[in-house]
Amino acid sequence: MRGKANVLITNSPSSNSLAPIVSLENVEKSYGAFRAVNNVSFDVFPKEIFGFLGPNGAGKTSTLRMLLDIIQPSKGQVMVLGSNSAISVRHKIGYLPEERGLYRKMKAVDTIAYFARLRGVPGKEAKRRAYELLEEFGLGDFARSKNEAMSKGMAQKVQLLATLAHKPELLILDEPFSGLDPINQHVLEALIRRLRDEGRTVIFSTHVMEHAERLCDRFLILAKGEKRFEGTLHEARDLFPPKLLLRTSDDISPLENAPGILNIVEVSIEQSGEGGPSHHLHSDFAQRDFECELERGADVQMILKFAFERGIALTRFEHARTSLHDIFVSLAGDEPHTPGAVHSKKGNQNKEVAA
Amino acid sequence: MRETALIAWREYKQYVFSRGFILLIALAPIGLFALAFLMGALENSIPQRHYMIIDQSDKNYADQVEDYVGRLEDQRVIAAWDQFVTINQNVELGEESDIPEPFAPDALSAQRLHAFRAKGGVEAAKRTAEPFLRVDPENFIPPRARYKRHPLPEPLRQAAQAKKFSADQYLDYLRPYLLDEKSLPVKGEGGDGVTLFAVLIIPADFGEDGKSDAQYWSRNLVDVELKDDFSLGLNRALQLQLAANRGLNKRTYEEIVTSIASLEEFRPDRENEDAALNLKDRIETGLPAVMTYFLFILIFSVGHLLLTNTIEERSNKIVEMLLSSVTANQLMLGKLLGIGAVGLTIPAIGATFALISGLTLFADNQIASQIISSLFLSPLVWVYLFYFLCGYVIFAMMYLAVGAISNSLQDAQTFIGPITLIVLAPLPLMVLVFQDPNGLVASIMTWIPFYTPYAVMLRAASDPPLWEIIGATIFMLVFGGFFIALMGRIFRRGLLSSSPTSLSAFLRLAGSNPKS
Repeated sequence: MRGKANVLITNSPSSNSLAPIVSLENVEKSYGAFRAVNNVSFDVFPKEIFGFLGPNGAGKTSTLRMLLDIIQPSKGQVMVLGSNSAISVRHKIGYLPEERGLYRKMKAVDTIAYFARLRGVPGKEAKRRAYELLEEFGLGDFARSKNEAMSKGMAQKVQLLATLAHKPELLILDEPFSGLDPINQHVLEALIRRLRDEGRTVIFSTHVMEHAERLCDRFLILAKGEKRFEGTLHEARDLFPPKLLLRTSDDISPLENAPGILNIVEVSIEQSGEGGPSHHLHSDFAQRDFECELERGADVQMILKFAFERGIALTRFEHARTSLHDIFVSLAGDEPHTPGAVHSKKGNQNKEVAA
Repeated sequence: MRETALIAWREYKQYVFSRGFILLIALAPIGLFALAFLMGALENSIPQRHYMIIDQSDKNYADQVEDYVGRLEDQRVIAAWDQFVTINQNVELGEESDIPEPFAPDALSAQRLHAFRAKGGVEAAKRTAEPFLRVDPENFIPPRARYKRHPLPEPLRQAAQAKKFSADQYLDYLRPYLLDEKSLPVKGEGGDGVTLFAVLIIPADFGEDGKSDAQYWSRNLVDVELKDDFSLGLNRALQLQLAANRGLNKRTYEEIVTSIASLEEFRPDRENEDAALNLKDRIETGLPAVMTYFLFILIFSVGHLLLTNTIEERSNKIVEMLLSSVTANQLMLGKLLGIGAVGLTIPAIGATFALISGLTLFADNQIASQIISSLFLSPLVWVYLFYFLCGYVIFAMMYLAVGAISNSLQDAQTFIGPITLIVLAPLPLMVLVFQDPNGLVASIMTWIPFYTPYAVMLRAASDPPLWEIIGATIFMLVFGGFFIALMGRIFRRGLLSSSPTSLSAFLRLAGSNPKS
């Protein structure tokens, strides 16, 4: 793997044998003394949904702009669809920027057709596709409405359609879900999946992990301009030790000697991902939640047996899968994760009840 | 290039195909006709003004003043007639000079005025010129006489004859008429009568050295034309009297004071019959002044459009999507072309209308054909167009660069003042360049790249030193290239910059490695 950042880097997908459609190599972007993007390398492969994750100010937008040749990198190389300038292959790329805007006085159909024409679609064909898309996405009645007369959500849809009308091979969506209501977020998720199924490649940036977790085939985590991770969710989870979530009113300290348990930490009910008034009783019989960090390959049945033998009555015994949220917080935080040093206390884990 | 053309077309379309613009284009001819009609209506709506002259002298000044005022009215009629004939003459049937004197357009001499009156005035002129005109001469409507002498009311007339009223007594009688409290009866007409506009009182001892002045009484203190006419009429009457005292008869005096020296202009850079200055020369000399003025107007109007348009794209965040479709240079060029074309649309429509009218309605009119050949066929026009475009691009780039770093017009205000100053600074000096196209000011202005287009346009018809024009033009192109590149850099970087709008940000973006 190229361009090692100072923390975690996983390998590119071993399953993907195709040549990358997008490739950034040791890319840097500096504004004066400020380095917005530092030595970032990653690949995006055809027909995948690639998440671009990072907190605010991580350098996501700068990286995407370099990818699109809107700004030039200070160092490094960018290859997009076989070209070192996205502008020369712009007819194969669709881009939805984070900051949305439309010509206020322009009609919806003209807006979509205009951007399609700028990306090489002939005039009549562009208009035809614009009408088709508006119809398909439920805006047929507003085709000839001016953008200024539309609601924010409708205008956002029009802008998205403007990135699709020229049937791009590669779609780059910068924070596409922001500003959308839950229903339209669901529609957009379905659209992204559909586009991937049709053979397009989708790169989207977000800091809402639920979308990324549901959609991404692979993802990249950026923080402070540096790459912290690139790979699949499975690969990301492999970076973190497995965990158990336990609930009991008994003394849990004997479990520290159980085989496979590395560490036990008490967590709040909220952190454990389960709420409810009954858990907030503060008495000797109050239920308490614990998170146990396990060795890789630890036998959870043995741990359950160990607890039973020592009279610890468990009302909850769950094998917790590390969520993308935890992975993100861990990798993109101020103190980036290094293998074997993950001590996440945040909740929202995806839970599986152990067999 | 296709993308640039698309952007230019969109920019052009959004302004030119807007309801407001179409309405403006549609209403412009109607507006012009309405204006012409209104001017005519206003001209005719100005009431004929009635005046009285009380002449207490025994030298009959009153009739002489009335005659003079009438003569000025006749001059207006003849001038209007000459204009009518010039516009409507049919060159296939004969030249202007083929129309018999005094009805052919010519200088307005006393002799011609007398002859025009003596040979039957306007009606005779119409009959005489009819074979040489391509329109019915009955279309000529002479301007209405603006002033008319009103006879004195009977009591005043009798008093004047008896010389028993003083000036004050006359005024006491006429004051209610001057103050519009009473109206004068019109002989043979009923109705309300007419208003007395002014009274001229000529005292008995007027004209004698050191004695009384004539008095002009009128409530209207703004319109002094009649007062001036009276003054000139009285001057002439006195001059006639003095001439008579020195043994000159009236005819000789008239010949002396109305004789006009003929002076024809020639150009030393031409020979023989080509040397005489003609209408084409005058148009070619005047055209750059018009184009310079037009360049000022265009820079201001289009500059404002460029500014607001770029600010809108930047502030509504569409620019990033555009920049993923086209390069910043394509976007910039598209705007320059599209919005520049918006500014040229109205003049282009006007020029096309003028050309079509000239080639059809005025095909046989000498003046029209000379204007058309000067405007559309002279090689100088291409020189003017070249410098016009250079000037436009240099100034337009400033507006684009400022628009690219501003989120609102308020932000842009910081820069609009200095830009306006740069654009307007040469305006007072341009008059000097026009008057002395090869003088020092003209040379200095020519070498300032911002003002080279203006100066060269104004000098082009005056054969300035070729080396100076070529040198200054090369300098302008080199400087312009550098300046455009610099403004283009600010435009490209500024569009996505989040820096606050300030001079330091402007300079930083122009630098080699800006922090945005």
